[in-house]
Amino acid sequence: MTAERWRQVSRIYHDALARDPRARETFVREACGSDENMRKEVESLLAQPVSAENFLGRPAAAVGFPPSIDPGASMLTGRVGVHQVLEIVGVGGMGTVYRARDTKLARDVAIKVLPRSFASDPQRLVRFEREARLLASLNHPHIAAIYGIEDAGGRPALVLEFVEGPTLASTLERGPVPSAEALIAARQIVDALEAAHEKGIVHRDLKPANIKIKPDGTVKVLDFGLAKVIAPDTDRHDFPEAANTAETRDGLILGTASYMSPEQARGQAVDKRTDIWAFGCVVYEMLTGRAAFAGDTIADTIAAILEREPDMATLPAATPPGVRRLLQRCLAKDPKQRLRDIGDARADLGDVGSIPTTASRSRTASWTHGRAVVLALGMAIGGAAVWLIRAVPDREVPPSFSRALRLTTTPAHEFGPAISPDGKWIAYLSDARGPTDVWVKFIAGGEPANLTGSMNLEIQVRSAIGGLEISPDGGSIAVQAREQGSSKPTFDTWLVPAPLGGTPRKFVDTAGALRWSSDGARIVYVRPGETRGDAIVVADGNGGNPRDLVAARGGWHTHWPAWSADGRFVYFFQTIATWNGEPSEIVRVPASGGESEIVVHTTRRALFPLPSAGGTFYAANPRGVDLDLWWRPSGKGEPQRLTTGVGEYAEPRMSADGRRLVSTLIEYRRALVSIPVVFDGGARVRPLTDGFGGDLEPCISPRTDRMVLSSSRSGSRNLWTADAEGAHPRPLTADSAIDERPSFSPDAGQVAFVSDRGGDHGIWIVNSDGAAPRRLTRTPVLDTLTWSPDGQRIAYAVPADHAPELAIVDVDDGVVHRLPTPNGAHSPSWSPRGDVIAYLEPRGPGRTYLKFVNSRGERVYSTLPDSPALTNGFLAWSHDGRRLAAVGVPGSANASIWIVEPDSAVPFRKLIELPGEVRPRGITWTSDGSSLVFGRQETLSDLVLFERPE
Amino acid sequence: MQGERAHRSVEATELVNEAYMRLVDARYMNWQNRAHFLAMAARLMRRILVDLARARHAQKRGGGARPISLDDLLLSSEKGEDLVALDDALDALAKVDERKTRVIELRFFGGLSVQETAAVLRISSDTVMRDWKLGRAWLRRALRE
Repeated sequence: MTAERWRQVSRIYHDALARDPRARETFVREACGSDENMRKEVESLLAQPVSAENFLGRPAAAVGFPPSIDPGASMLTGRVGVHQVLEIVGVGGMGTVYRARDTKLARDVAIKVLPRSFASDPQRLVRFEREARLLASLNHPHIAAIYGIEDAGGRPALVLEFVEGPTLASTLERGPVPSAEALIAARQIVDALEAAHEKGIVHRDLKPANIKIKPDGTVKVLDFGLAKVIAPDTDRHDFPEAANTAETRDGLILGTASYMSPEQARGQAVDKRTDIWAFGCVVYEMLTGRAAFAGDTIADTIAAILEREPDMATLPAATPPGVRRLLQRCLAKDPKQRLRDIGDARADLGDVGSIPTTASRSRTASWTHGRAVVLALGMAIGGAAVWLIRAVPDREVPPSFSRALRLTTTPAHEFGPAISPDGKWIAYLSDARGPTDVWVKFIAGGEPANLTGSMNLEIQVRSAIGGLEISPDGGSIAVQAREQGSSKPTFDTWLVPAPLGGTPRKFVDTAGALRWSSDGARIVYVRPGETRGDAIVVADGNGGNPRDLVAARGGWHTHWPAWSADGRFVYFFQTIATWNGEPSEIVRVPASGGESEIVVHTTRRALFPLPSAGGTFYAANPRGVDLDLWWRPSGKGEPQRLTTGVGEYAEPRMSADGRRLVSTLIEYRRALVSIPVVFDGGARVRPLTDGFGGDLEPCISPRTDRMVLSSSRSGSRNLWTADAEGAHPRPLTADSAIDERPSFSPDAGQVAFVSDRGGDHGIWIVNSDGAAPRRLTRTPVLDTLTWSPDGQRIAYAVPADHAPELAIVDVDDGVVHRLPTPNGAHSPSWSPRGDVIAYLEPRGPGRTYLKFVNSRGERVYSTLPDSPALTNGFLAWSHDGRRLAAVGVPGSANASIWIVEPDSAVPFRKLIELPGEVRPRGITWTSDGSSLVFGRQETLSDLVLFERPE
Repeated sequence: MQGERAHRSVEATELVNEAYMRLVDARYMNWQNRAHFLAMAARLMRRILVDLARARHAQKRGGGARPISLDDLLLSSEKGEDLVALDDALDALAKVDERKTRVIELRFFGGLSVQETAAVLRISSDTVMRDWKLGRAWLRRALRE
């Protein structure tokens, strides 16, 4: 056929197709005129039922067993064993599925008839039967059961539990699953996978098409392990490149490729972590309605799996941070970095109330004999109950809470809770309106009420030092506040009528963290003293007759006093004035005065004591980075951890009858960000790392343009190195220590850091390649480490008798000498160009200013005017020593970054004021000095209620 | 080994892997544009499938296993078309209309969408659809003859 003739055929063909089918024949006849051959040619092409057959309609490698063109031709009819075949319900990758009736047991089953090729390979059949028996032993409410194997006319057939309802795949065609439902479903999938993994069974082909959601919301995972059962023997390999891929086969079509783990895609051996990957894909897709890794071709999809990160920005905004982090952990490309056990996902998903069996188990087992471990609930479902589980036999019996409830789920920050004596309502602080107010919420339901929004009060925002208190008669809420516009530097305790609100009145002057004794006859509170130290004061119930129970000690913070149940002791938290409250301890002192005794001592944090009958609740992180709730029995028993999961539990408070406990759940997002140092309005923050790795405290060396940072991405806080953009991170230190505040030596050969390895805080040095970590000093370190320009010495702030002061340690011999600086000097930064150490110096409450000395302690730049207040701040010289980045983090205002040029006519210029909840953690200059990189910490907090059974 | 190979049908996973392995190499060869890469992918997929099918034919003639066919791999029609025959038909179509062969190769073996196919071949989506319809009709007829 000539090209011209073919063009004519094509044109007539398409023109005919554009017409009504009934008119085509006439059209073709007319168009071809007398050319009979052409008419036949066109008509024979038009006669091909390509569309009806979907001929070549699915990509070759995407086609396992596509819907049958003519199901009738191979339709199974009649009986298979005791089963009456009813209808065909699906044609899938592993054969045709029928619905059938088990005539003996009078139940419907699904029968999956396997490819004929099975029957021809006796070895394969034997292996199939063996595997199927193992799978049949999987008996779990969320796994579709395998009942048995039958012979269906010479072809092996699996008899399976018939599960009503749509597959998740078809549900997802209509869009994402509402978050709450998605997480409930995810939770059930976790249960199913965990049960299977415990038996050593890996699904291998988990995907939405293999998950069914029954009309009652119950999730069933289908085809467990079938991918392997139906596979040929794994020890025969056709292709060396595909060594172990015989695990999964025909069904692995394009759709499935999206859920393949990187190791599957590479043809490597798979284990349960492949299911964890697929689980992450499924959860992601439920929440977003889109596949985590998708491409129009297999090659694109695989490239996405191997190289790309799923777009977390498409997750619903309300997705709990725990779930985001879980997804990250499930979708780690390297199986070794991936979530290890699917059971670990549970804490991040929250224990959603679909599991009454486990709840009742914990009730019977733990309430009487066991140790109930209250599981964390990282998730939010409005008002839905969240169950706590897990009973571990133990002789010590802490109060066991069987149920937990997320009380608040807003994007606002809720914190500082108090619970009414009758346990029916809570008061808390929230910035839902913008400014922080006192809110009240009844646990039984109803909208929260803002009690102070219309009052002329500025409320103290630092939750960690107090929180609210409800009077024993339930009629007043104590809150730290001052009148708006007040020039007063400190906050007082005010009383707000409760629970309905009313006009607040001032109660005690300059007082924080006030607590009533249970009979209301006495109060205890903190009189804040900044660097002079905080005092703990006891007074009569009306505020009269105050006397210091614990005198102020310089350099010490004492917070969070709490009465013992019998009123004989006051418990409180104390720490030397370090950057992050580590180390800290919980002590108690007789309410009548006397010696204090330590209740909890740790090199890390132990705070928020809540004495109760039989023991003390508190928050601590003895083994990790984040705070959990702990319980220490009064007797000899060991402390026991009550919560697990993502986020920090803080500020526990308990109802008078001990049946309800409310706590703040804090989640941090810590990421590295960069900002150009420009003053033309272009100083915008740009993220470098995501917020889930806990990246903080970057330090860039201009010698190598490498960065060292502190990160909790591995689960414990260690040092990592990366390029100057934070990319390609590599671990520098390991172990379960907390390694932080790293600083490159001037030659970039070493990194100094602060660590609690070995059980004491101290300065450590490690070579930049990770070799030879060694302790330099054994000392608490308040904030930053800074090297002398010659690399011989390191300056830092150390707690002294009354307030911090600067110290310098010699790197070679570890000899320390103190720098004669005024009390309270901290946050040193040694200029790379000469003998100038910038530091911060407090002057009066809440006021901290930038000062300079040389290494002999003599003042430099003494004529410079006062800097802006840089309270809670820190400093970093630029690499050329001409400019200084100065961060101020005032307790009740937004953090700001200033650029200081001591030699300039305009020495102080504000680079940026950060949003309210953002706190910088560590700052460094890029090698060229054009930008700053800092750790950006954002804090989210909500309230959680734990309940004991009746 | 050849004997063992004969016992096995092609695993889609292996296809995926083999195609991917070859593609990865292609990527390292520094293909400049994505269109070329996609076209390459489709061509590779076709070759892998057809090579396997031919191997099956050879095994069959040597006595033993069934040939791989579209029935096994691609279509569950009882009468399914032979991949080798499809390959031959595509070659024949290429002599008549090279572009339609490319369209079918990209769509069927490469799994590309209409838009992607259009982009790779630098033609409009309408043209792709027309080529796709007529090309398939031509091939089906060829396979039935």
